[in-house]
Amino acid sequence: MTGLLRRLRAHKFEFHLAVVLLMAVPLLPLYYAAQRGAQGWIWFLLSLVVLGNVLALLVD
Amino acid sequence: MFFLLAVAPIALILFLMVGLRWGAARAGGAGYLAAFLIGMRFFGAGPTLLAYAHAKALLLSLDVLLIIWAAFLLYRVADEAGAIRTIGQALPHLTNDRGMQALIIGWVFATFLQGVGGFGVPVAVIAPILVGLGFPPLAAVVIPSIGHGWAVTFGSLGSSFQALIAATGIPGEKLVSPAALFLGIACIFVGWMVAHAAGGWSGVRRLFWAVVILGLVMAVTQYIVAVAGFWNIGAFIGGIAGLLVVIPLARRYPGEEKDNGILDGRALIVALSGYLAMMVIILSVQLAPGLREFLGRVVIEVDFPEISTNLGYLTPAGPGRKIAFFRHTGVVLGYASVVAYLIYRRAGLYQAGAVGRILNGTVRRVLPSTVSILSMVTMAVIMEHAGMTDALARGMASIGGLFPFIAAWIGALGAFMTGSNTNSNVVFGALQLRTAQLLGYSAALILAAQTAGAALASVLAPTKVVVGASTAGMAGKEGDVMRRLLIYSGLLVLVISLLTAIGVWLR
Repeated sequence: MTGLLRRLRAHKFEFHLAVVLLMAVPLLPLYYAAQRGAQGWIWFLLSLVVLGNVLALLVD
Repeated sequence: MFFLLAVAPIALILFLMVGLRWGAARAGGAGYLAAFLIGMRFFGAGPTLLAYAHAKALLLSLDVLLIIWAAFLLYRVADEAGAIRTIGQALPHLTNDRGMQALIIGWVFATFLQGVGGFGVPVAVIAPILVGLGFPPLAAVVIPSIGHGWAVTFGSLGSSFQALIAATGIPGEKLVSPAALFLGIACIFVGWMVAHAAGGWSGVRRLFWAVVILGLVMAVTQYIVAVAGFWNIGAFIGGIAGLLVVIPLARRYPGEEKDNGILDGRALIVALSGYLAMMVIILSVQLAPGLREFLGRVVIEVDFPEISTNLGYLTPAGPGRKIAFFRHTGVVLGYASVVAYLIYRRAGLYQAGAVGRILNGTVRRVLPSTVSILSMVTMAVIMEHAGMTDALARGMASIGGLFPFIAAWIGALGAFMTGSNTNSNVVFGALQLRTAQLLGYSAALILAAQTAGAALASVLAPTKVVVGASTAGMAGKEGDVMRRLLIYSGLLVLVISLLTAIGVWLR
């Protein structure tokens, strides 16, 4: 775990870029999924945003 | 119970940033996860509601991020040309007094910038200039953050005040006088706090009367202009009045005798021209109706349906944040960055490869701020849609007789959560009005407390702290900034609380 965190910190830029993409990209599709009432898609897209926020906890 | 659950995400962010000194990107993620889980489990926020809340957060985040990205780009354009260093070397020729330098740039100029600019612009522009002047990075962020807060309601072309009018339906003429009075009194306290942040208590004692003079000039000007019906330019005119007075006043505070070298007037004019271009462009876009209309033709607007939680809390249908893209403050700062680059390039201030270094430096510095803005704005929108924000306000308002004292804190809470005086007025304006009417208090006074509390606490919002910290090289140390700002901002909101209580008592 410590090794993983060290590696993430060493690639902070790429890590934050991945986090931003996870947080931002699903937001617009979420609107269309909600319009169509596609519950499966909504949960999938929400879980991506949640994952982005969980990852954000790892590196400052 | 609901109050405690609703306050949990905000308390968690405060604890992580102020207590454990986490950076905003990590703390924002934790706050988001808390809001998401509590909203879903205890407030009945279903997947569809959460989906719409996330989509709405995208627009709000974009609104903020455009400014952060562009403000930092402008800073990099100026810094790469050596303009920040030149400006920093020139100010001691006006005064060597550190406190006076802080008042000139961090208070008076910040007020002017708040008058013409918008969200976070004063902090983003001024913090790096103060660093260039030799101020410690922490002070460089704290000084303009406190310095512009009093000007937020009647700055940004009065958008916050306009939002209060729209949210409550009460004519501006009835609201403007107490709001301008509260913020005017706060202005003088703000000046003393800037002097304190720059030079401790000795700085406050030395600059006491300078602050009183400058504060009165800016506050009275803003009051007169706003009460005359021109509340959209109240802070702008107040800032100009302050700039006219501060230059002769600064000569009375020369500070320690130092050899500052010879002032290179041409280099200074070239260095300032980037920022002058910014002001000219912002003013042209804001005040020239034809240009404003032309640039406002492309609007990003998404309609959201009415949606409710499983517990019945309703969010009415309506558009999310409208973004007139080509006249958005962030995009306008982008125009200014391009013009500033062309000016500096023509003056021969760049070396080969400057564009690559400017863009690379910008992207690397704004990325962590982008993470925190996305998570915190999404958290705030989830809380609003789940009824958590409403539960918070109701909990605070349930104390009846003490409500006038609490009103400013409700406004402050809204600004802290949403990062904006405008959003706080939209979220809490109607609720404050209803509560004031139910309890029989003056609506104008309570709403003045709402907007003044929100303005003064908006500087403490994590989203704004991130802006300042990122431009002053303090990214990841936002907790330290917030720790300092919490005291200053808390005292200012306390002043507004006392003024409101006294105002209600006098009636």
